[in-house]
This record gives sequence, structure tokens and C-alpha cells, in this order.
Amino acid sequence: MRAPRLLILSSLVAASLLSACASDSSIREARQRSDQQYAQSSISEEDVTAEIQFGRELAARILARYQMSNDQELIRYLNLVGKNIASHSDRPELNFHFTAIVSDEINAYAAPGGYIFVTTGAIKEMRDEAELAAVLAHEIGHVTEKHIVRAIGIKGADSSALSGISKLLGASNDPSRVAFSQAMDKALNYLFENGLQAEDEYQADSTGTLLLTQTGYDPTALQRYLDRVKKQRKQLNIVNKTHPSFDSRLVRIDQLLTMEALSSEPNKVYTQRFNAQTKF
Amino acid sequence: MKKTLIAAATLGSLVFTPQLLADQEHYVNLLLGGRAMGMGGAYTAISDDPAGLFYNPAGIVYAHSANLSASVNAFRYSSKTYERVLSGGIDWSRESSGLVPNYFGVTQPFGPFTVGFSYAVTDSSEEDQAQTFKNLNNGVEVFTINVNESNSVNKIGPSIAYQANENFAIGLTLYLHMRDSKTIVNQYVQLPNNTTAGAPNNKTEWINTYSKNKEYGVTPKLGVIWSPTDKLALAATYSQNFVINSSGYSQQTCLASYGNAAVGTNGYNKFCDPAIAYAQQSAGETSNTHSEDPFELRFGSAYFATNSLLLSADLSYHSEVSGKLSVVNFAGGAEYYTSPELAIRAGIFSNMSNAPTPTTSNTSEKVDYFGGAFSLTRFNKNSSVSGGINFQYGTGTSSAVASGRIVDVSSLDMTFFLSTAYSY
Repeated sequence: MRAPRLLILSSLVAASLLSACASDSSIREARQRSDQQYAQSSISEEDVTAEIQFGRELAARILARYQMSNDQELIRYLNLVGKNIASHSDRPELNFHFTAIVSDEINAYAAPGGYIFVTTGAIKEMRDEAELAAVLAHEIGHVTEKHIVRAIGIKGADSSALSGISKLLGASNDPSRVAFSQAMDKALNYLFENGLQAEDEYQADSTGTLLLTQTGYDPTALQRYLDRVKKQRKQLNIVNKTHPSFDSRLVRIDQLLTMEALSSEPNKVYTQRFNAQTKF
Repeated sequence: MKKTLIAAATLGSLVFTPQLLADQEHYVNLLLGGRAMGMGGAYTAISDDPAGLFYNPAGIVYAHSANLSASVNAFRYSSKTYERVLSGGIDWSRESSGLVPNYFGVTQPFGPFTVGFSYAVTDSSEEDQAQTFKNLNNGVEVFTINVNESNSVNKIGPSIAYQANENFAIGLTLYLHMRDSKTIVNQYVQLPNNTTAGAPNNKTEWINTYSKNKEYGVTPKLGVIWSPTDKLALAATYSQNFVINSSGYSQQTCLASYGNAAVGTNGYNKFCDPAIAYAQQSAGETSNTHSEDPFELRFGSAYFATNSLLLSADLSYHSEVSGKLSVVNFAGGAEYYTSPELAIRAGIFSNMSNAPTPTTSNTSEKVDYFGGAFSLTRFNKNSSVSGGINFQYGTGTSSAVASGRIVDVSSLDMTFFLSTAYSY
């Protein structure tokens, strides 16, 4: 009687030990075949076009939800600051667009393809141009790291002969249109309801901080801004729903600054210029 | 006198048992899914594309793309030879060929769930025999036999899979099962002029047998997949077909050129009912006369050695039910990428018969098959096209074609397939 029990117990222990070796991501990575790895790593012109088209459609949905600011000076300023940062990114094929949307919420949004929105409520809480640049750089980070593109799997149409054969034999037809609609719903869900993965937000903070530094702004601007606005719970309803906690983000930014030996540079914040351009 | 008696015996022995023609003795008549077909059907622990909806619904949680669709079209050719069926050592041969829509499936993830829908043609055959034999040793002047038999099994239905934790998933496919089979047999026999006084000359006899059967049911398939390590996956599935309704119709028509008067008095016999002078026809409908289906328990393992090399193996068990013996089949497969754009797949598999061993008193046919698979796949960004072949060869015995006698049978089955997969 003792032997079977021992066998069952040892099997369970062995199973749990073996299970501990395998995580979901490592299992999926092991299952990924050579063609899938190649398809993910290569970017074609069609992929970029699809990303831009999808981003444009998503931007239209964002503007259907929020009123766009008619302050042309502010928008011009956002574009000057934003495009300067974007020029240091690794997505030179994208033409970034920046605009302000009228809302008391403290938030900013990025749609694939380089469409960036920042709320007037978020701008009001900023003290200098470096903080504005930091928020825009965080959003640019989402675009350069393709967080929504990867989460949804946006890919360009394949116009090759091989793809034509696939379509001819019935492996693709109307479902692709249904998929586009479903993908848009998913993207809106990421932006307004459930957010991206926490790791994506940390990565955008990290990429944004490095872009900010490369462009010539105070590396601690994002840290300063987040630390200041984190207590304004009323205006952070959506951010708190869609982002990891401010404290966890601040800890990670601090670790990055320490690791990269970056420190505050008060002479690179451009307060006067910011105040001159943002008159609410 | 002796000559005619032999001829009479021949007529009786040439009658078919039509229900034996539709191949329900094997469970691997047609492999499904482009990638799985290339790997000999050893796919239970892989199942991470739309074909997984059929092989193991749990595996579709690992589908690499959010939305996937796949379709397979196949051309099937098979030939079967019954050796020395007629006196004089004459063989019977039957052939079958045709295009079959093999498989179509789509998957879509929803959080920890993945749902899908698939259509599978698990069996499809159109078997033909058209042979005429003249001047047989036993005195038959002309013997013509035409057989046309078709059998198709279609399954269609939804699937759902749930990733319970990081390395364990469970899934269920619920198929609507439809089988449609039909058999038509025509036999014509002509005896020579007879020298016996009072006996009719050039006696002829024609027998037509027609039978068809339809059945509807459900086939639930429950699957689990477990990854004890990153590179190793173990899986199991359980499924059983439950026929809810079946209906059939059979008809036999017999026409002889000589009547009842000749029987007995002159020693002439014929297959047609001697109580009816010239011709007879019998017909009848049947309902719910289907045979019981066994359950299938399938175990699979897959080893993802590198992103270019994958090895897999399956073992399946079909239980014993009335008239069908239990069967164990195996399959093994490999996939190797020579480059990110080209993959080679190969596999081996068995397809054993569930029929009992034929004896002189037991009408049966038992042919065990062993097969191989090979395919090439060319990948593009969002799509892939595969071309390949499945083949199986079997030998065995049959007591179904020459009643009272056991004959050797050999059979070759080949399926050429073209499959496409598309992610969007």
C-alpha cells in the first residue's frame, strides 16, 4: 500500500519540479517555429503601411471621444517638441503627429503609426518643457516598441504570389475584415479600459527617459512629473485603470537613472519657453 | 451436368455483402490538416494551429497568431486487389480516386480562452470496379461485375480551449457527425449453350444490389496538453462518436432468363429465388441499424528541439465494441526548417483493422496498413503553402468477396494534398 502512495507522491513532486521549469512565455518561445520568428523580426513596407492605417483609424476613434484643442500655437509647439524627440527614435519611417485634446484628465495616448495625444489637463500639471517632452517621449516609446502592434498582431497585406494562392484556395476571405474591426475594439480597450501589459508601460518609461536624455532634456523630467501628479486621483481615473502603480513606475525609473548614471540637469528644462507657449 | 453444377455454385458465390464495402474497419483512412498530414498525423501534442481543433483542442491556446485560418484540399487515389477470386486464379481489382475538401478551420483568442470552428472530412472514398471475365474455367461464359461504392464522413463544429495555468491547457471540440454511404453492385452472368436435353440455352442472370445509409450524431473530443518543460509537451484526448439517428434503404433485383420449371427437374440452379418464375425485387428501409462506435484514447508527445527541429509521436487506442476489435495505432513525425522560408516534414503511421480474422464461416475483411508521409512547405509573411503526399500500403485476407473462401488482399492508398494557412 505504501509503494503506490510513494509513487504518486514522487510523481507529483517530479511534476511540480518540472512544471517550475516551464513558464508560459518560455513554452511559447520554444514552440515558435523558424518562419514565425523570421516574420516577427522582419518589417516590410506593407507592415508599416498597415500600422499607419490602423493608427489613423484609431486616432479618429480617439478624436470621436475627445474634442481636439483649437489652440494652434499649442499644437505647433507640441509638434516641434515631439518631432524633435521622435527624430532620435529608431522609427525614421514614421511621420509623428502630436496634438492636444481637451480634457481635465491627466493622460496621454499613443496610436500606432505615430499619432500622439496629450490632454490639456496633463499639460496644465507640467512645470517645464522637459516634463512635456518626457510625457511625449513615453508615448513615442509605445510606438517605437510597437506595443499595440504586437499585442494585436497588425500586419500588412501580403501581395505575394504565394499569398494569392492561399486566398484562392480559401484560407482567407471575409474573416480578415471582421478581424480588423475586432482589432480596433481591442486597441480601444487597451487605451481606455484594461491597458497594455505592465511590462509595456515600464518599457515605455525606460525608452522615453533615454530618448529624452538623447534629445537634450533633463533625464529626471518624467520622474519629477509622475511623482508630482500621482496624488491627483480624481484626474487619474483612466491612468490608474490602464497603467501599473505610480510607485512601481517611479522605482523602475530610479533604477534606470542609477544604472545609466543619469542625474538631474536643471539647465535643460526650458521653463520660460514652456510657459510662453502654454497659456491656459 | 457437372459443368452446370459448377456454374451454379459460381453464381451463388459471387454475391457481395455490400455493407462490407464502406470502410469502417479503419480509423486513419484520411489524415487531416496540412502540417499534421506531413507529419503522419502525429499531432496531438502540437495542435497549435487550426488543425489542432481536430487533433487536440487544448493545443490551440498556443496558436502563434491572433487569427488563423487554414484549408486543405486533397486528391485521393486508392486501389485494392483481391487475389484469385475467380477460378483460374483471376484477381479482382477496385480503384478509387477523387478530390476531397479535407479540412478548414479558424481560431480566435479571447483572453485565456481560444475559440475555433472547423470542418473535417475524416473519410471520403469513391470506389469503382468494372470488370468482365470471359470463358472462365468453371464454365461461365461471361461474368461482368460493376461496383460503385461511396462513403464520406463529415464533421463540423465549434471548439473552445482554456489555458488553466502557465503550462496546462484543456479544450473541447463538439462535432456534428454525418456519415453518408452508398453501394451499388451489378453482376451479370452468362452460361454457355447446354447439351442436356430440355435445358434452356444461353442462360443469363443479372443481380442488382443497392444500399444506402445515412447517420447523424455528435462527436465530443476532450483534450489536455501539459508542458513539463519548455521544449516538451505531453497531451491526451478522449473522444467518442454517438450516432443519434440513422436511416437506410436497400434493394435487390434479380432477373434470370430461365424459370422455376428448369430448377430441379433438369438440375439447373440459379441465384434468383426459385419460387419466383422470372424476376424478383425486394426492398426495405431500415432505421437506427448503425453499428456501435468505439471510444478513442490518444496520447501524444512533442519535442521542440530547436526552432528548426520538431519531433512528435502519437499512440491511439480504439476500444472493442460489438463486431469491432480494439485497435492500437502509432504515428511519428518530424519537421525541419532548412531556412525560415522552407520546411520539410515527414512521418510514419499505422492504420490497423478492427475486423476479426476472416474464416470460412465468418464474413470479414482484415487489412492492416502501414504508411508514410512527406511534405514541403513554403512560407511567406502571412501565409504558407504546403504540398505533400500520404501513402499507406496494406495486406490481409478477406472472406467477403468469394463466400466460403478466403482470399488474399493487398491495397495501396495515396493522398496528394495542397494546403494553405493564413494569419491576419
